[in-house]
Amino acid sequence: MGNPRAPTTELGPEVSGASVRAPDVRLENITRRFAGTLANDGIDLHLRPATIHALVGENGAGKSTLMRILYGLVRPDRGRIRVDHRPTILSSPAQALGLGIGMIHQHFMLVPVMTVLENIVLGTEGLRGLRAIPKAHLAETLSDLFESYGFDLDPHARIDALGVGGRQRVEIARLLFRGARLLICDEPTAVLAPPEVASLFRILRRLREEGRTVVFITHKLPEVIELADFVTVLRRGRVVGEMKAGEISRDKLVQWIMGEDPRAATSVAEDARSEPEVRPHGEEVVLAVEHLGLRDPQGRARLGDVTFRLRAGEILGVAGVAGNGQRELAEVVAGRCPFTAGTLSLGAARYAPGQTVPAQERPALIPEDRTSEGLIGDFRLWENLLLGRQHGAPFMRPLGYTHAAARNWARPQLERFRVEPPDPQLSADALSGGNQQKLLCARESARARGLLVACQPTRGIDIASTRLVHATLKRFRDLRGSVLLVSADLDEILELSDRVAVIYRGRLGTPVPRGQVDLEELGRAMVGVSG
Amino acid sequence: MSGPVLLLAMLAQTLRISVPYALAACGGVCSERSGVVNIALEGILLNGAFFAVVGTHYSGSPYVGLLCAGAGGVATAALHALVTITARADQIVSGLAINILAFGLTRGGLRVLFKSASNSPRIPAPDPAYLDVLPGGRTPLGEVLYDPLFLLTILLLIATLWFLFRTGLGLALRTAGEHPEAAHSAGFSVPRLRWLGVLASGLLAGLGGAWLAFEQHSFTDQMSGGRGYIALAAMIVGKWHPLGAAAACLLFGAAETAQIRLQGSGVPTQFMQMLPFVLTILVLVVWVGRSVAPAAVGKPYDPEHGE
Amino acid sequence: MKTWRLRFALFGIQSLPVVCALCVAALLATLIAILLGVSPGELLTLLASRFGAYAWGQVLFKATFLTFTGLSVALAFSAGLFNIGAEGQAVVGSLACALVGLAAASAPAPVALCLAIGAAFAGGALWGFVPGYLKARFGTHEVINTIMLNFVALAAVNFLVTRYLALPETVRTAEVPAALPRLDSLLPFMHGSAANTSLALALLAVIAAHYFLHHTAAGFALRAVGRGMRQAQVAGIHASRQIVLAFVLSGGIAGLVGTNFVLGYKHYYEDGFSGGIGFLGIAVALLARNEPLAVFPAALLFGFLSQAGLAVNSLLPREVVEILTGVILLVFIATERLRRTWSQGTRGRLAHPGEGRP
Repeated sequence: MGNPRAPTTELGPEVSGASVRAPDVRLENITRRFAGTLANDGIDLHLRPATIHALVGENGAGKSTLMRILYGLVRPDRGRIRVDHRPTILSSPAQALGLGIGMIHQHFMLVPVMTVLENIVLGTEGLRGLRAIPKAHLAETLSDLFESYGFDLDPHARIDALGVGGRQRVEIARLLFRGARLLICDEPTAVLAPPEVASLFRILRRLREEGRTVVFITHKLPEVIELADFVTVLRRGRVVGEMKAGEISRDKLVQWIMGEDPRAATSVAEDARSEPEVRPHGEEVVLAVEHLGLRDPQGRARLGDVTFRLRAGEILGVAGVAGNGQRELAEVVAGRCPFTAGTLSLGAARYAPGQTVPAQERPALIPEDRTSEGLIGDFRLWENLLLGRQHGAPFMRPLGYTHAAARNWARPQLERFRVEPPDPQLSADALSGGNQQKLLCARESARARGLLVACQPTRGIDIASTRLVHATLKRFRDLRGSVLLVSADLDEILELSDRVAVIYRGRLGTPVPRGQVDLEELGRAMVGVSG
Repeated sequence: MSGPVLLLAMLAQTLRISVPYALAACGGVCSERSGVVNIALEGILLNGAFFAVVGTHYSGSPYVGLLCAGAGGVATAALHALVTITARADQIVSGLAINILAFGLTRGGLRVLFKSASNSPRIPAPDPAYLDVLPGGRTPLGEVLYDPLFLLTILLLIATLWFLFRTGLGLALRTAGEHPEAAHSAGFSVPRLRWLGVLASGLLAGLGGAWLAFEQHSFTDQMSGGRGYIALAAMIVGKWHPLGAAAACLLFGAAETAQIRLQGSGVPTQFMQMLPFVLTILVLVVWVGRSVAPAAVGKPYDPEHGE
Repeated sequence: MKTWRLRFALFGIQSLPVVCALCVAALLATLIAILLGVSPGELLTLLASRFGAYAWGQVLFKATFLTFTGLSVALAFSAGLFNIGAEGQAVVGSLACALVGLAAASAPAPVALCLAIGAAFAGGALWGFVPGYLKARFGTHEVINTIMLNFVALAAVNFLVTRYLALPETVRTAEVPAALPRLDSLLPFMHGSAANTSLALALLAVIAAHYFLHHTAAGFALRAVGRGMRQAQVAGIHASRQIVLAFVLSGGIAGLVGTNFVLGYKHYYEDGFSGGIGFLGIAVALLARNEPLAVFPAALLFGFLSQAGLAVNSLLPREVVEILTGVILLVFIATERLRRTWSQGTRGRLAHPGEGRP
């Protein structure tokens, strides 16, 4: 294969606007197994040239694996790929790129400490060896490319100075620069605020008009209906169905995605129902934050002048695009990170800048990243449940504990939170994402004594687990606990919160009662266009 | 000695002492920029020195010794690469094991080849005839500056710099150390890039070992004496940049020169011996936080591992 | 049910790295012997003839050292820390042990003995505290610091001994009256070997460390920091405190080496006795997978290797032992990933016996 263009004379994109011929790609009978589970099970998929093809399904349905196979990152155990009717073995991304297939990953493949230009030209044909990178020339080429697509990017800016939307445009520009004619976008809207989504959709439509194919992984159905020419639904590694634009029906999609077994209510949800219905929240202030500010060690402001109160029996939702300080806000409020200005009051205790909250006074925290911050992968389930509670655990005796006692203590908790399998001896990384999140939820909600800070508590998990997590938070609220809920998922914020506030560039807007939220206003506030 | 002469002599000595540090530290930069911690630098220095002596002793030519040192360094580094990249084992443990191995190999080699547990016979160092012709060629400073291995060191430093920060392959190598998935996704083989980085570190540190051997005109047991570890510290202080690392090595070289010059001044020799090690600890304390390691250094890369 | 078969397979997989490492080491030893013109048969005959009760006693003596340093490294590893400084900690602890033993010469024997043992621990703990504090307070990496501190400890102790403490014309201190009885006083057939009752102390330390790590809340917190520092911190565990604690305990255990050398064997401190026991401790800890209970068998293995090297000294250079140690380590860690992948698969099949192949 290889790129027919002479690398020494021309480095850069095929002229935009000119029509491009996308390859006709068929995946046939693709099967791939990971550690005992079938991620893809005999999948057939036809990607027609110059269309936008949506791939939907629950997490774990096998969408990402399938696309990683198409991009040569993962090899299938069985099955084949035909590109323009020719059977092709894609064993590396380099080959995929050579055929004009490119991928934008859910977690961006950008090096934060390098420049836009370095990230884009990385791996370009002709710039893979010992030839010096002609930076000045490339900067010009890139500027032209950015201009023609309306990207507001500086080739010499460092990636870590860009927001999420900017980074995504760098990813797209990179694929265009490499001459990709089929672009795979893995959940491109998951990290974007509504106006940014709109602008992404404009770009994707433009790519289709140029003749390129776009494969678009999502689990937001309105996006599918708005954008896709074709939609394929995956469930448990198999294709459940495919529809054309115009015949796409929301109900049908939901049915396909969820399958025959809508395992709805779970034990905690049932518990929640048996509790007395909504108790009116009191006036007791659990958390008060005044003019709170945070600068990182490099002196950059992360949070500025944040002021709000949280009362007992209330959920305050913080909406915002990732990277706007919500993570820092959660950590400061949870006492995990000292702040640099203002005051923080937890119950009766007031803290000044620089003071640390004593370990036993810290609110419970469901951190943003369950694998790198929440659970210890090679710790057993009982050990993970015990983490941070080891000194007050009921089975702890003055001379120590036995593992049998620890397991017996853990098992009922696992069962109550429907962690599958409820075996305390398993290690946490043997669980699926949803079960991991339930485990985390079990630990932190048991530990919380008045305030629970929850960061992206349902990101990337299945619907049944999501329901259980939501039920846990609601139940905690109904028992007069308070929750600070940080989420990028607007639907989640609107479903759970009593009041909603938007965070943008480290500043928190005034919380608005849920009933008075104006969706459009909210979306604009998330990208800083308020008023 | 008059002031300026003393100063020049000290400068020459500082350069002499700094060369093996600089080569090893620059090797460390190559390896760690690609994502592999290289504690094995110590063992590579030791093996480099040993092979330099063996090559020179049996061929009579120090230049053959130099080649052997490079090859020995690369071979040692290849072992590190095999274990850490191909078998994806712990990089620190592998480095330590290689150091133990190199220690046993060189001492056992001394015993078998030279029938001695402590040192090899005397070997000649490179002594090109042009030193007699060039101006100042026979002054202390000239002997360093015109030394072929010194010139090679400068050349290699510049080459490393150019390679890492100017070329596409260097960009890919740095990406393998910062964000290996990105390098893979851009169509590179991360293991190959890392092999390249580690082998380069073997070549550089192996030549550093040769310098040590030529300085002493022999191999002595454990002659690396912790220099590989100090070179790692210099690399950190130099922010994983060839020039920064070289500058930090000059600092260490200057400190050691001062130490040598102070000998016999009444300060116990043990304190002098401690100096570079204490200095390393202190410098690291001061520097930490200003110097950020490549994000993925120390982490084995599994190309098929999903998100 | 086929569970017993799976369990058997799991056991096989678990021991794969050790078996591989030992096989490769044996092959390599044979190869070196052949290269040097020694027949392997001759080597084995010599080895067998040299391994009587005395030699086994020496193996126990060496294993005592390695149990202390191996346990030291393993404990630090449990907290996710590389303690490459066991050697320096052992040297400082041993000197402290001798000094306190000398100072308490007039005290009743049991008291003097306890004080000397305590001093060995305290000396090592002090030297371990330094890298622990540097890591917790400044975040400097413990690997480089502990290596540097080894060099510093060796030079500093050498200075103290040669300048102030040594008897004239020697590099050793005066005789310490407090002593741990040798094993040959209890088991006469071991006569002459240096093995002594500090072995019991080493085994006690092994059990204490196991109990601490796996059955106490404090040990749990330490392990949590080791397996997931960030997660433990987010869950409210004070990580820097655990780091210092781990290094203090680790250093203290390494310091107990002094009980073997000073109290059990020589009855004085002698400069330069430590020769690489810290590095070997890393090998021991690795082979034991940082499980305290497995440290003693691993220490026996390396103790045996080292004694065997001495035994065949006339045929093979002693340094073959270091070469083999390095190779054992490399092969062991290189096959670790295979073990982990395979054992996960087998464990998974044990946990979900119902799920077969499609």
